[in-house]
Amino acid sequence: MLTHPEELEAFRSLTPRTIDGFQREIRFLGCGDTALWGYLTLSLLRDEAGIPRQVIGVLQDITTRKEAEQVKDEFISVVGHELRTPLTSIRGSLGLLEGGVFGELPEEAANMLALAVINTDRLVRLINDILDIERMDAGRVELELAPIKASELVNSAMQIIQMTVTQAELTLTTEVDDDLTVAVDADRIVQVLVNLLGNAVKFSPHHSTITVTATAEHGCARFAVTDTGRGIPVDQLGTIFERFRQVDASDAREKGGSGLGLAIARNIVEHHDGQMGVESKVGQGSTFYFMLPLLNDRVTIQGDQRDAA
Amino acid sequence: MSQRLLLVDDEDAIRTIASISLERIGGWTVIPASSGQAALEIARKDGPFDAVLMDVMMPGIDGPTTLGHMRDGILAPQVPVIFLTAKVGGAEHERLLSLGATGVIAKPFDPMMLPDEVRQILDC
Repeated sequence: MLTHPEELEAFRSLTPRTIDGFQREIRFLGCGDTALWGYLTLSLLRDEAGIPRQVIGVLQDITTRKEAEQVKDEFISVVGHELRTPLTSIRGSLGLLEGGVFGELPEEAANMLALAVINTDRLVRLINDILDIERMDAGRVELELAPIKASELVNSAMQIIQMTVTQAELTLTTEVDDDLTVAVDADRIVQVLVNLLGNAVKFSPHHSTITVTATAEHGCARFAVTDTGRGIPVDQLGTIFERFRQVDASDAREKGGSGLGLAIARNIVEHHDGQMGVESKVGQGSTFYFMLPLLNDRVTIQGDQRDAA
Repeated sequence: MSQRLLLVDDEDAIRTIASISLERIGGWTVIPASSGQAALEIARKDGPFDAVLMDVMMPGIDGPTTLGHMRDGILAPQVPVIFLTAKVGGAEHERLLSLGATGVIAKPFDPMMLPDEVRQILDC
């Protein structure tokens, strides 16, 4: 068994400091160059003087698991596209009917049609969300990182959500530190902000205010969306980011969400080496926030590596 | 006389919906083709066209390949070609434009908005 050539770099860059606690999935080449997957954990043993003496490695064969994951990812991807094709036609036909292209419909028929449209849109969103989260899990999402000001990200998200906010008779206020710059995939981070804002709108009482902030904290840019809605019970704070978790099972029906929005949002933030969290009090409201590394930090880190080399 | 648009998609339902939308709302005369092959035949015999609206992923020869053949003298070079694609993302958009497409419209499209979207791309 040989280490896959593309994995060698991970070992070359190991230092006594990074060996201890090293753990990751690693590809190997078996007989006839078959691909094998292992999960490697390394620990460093030091003598009494603190000098590194031995490395202990534990390698677990995870090839079967990786193959099963791949089959699952492909299956979901194919099913997703197969579902989307007929749905596109259904939504298109309904859209032409609803748009009055074939004449005015009787009121009851128009109501039925509106129901069909709303639920088709919900199904389209659900399928898109499932495909999105699967693509990210399978590592098929390539982020297009570029420097951008936090204020620009917030403004883009506000533009997208403004109509929804106005329709719900809510107010949106922002407090954004204009000096913050991050290196992110702008479309994806705007998607996260829009998702958090969308949730805030859904759960905000009439005529209340939603606050968006972007501030510097612990060397990170901290984005936060605060509402004054019903809040999340303490026992559910830990699971709110899991797939298909909603505080109330009826939320999926009433609020029209897929139950995947927060899972996707957290996934995107983590792909940016960031962190996402929530603070909430029942009856008072919730704050969903995420932290992203500031651009200056990234530059410094790269500089350090060059110096070390 | 209304303008002629060549519509290429392997899905019958999509052709029907897009045709109704473009003809009734947009005022186009739509000539449908169910494959890249069929589109090339029609472009040869039944031209000229004022625009082409074409799916990207089709069995047989796909949209970009069909476009390549069209640009080899079958279609007048100034005729705009717009792609319909279910693949989203800036990279895919750029790739299609670099192949010589005039514009890209995302699937699923809203049939009430489709004629406007086509018009906007053509007016650019």
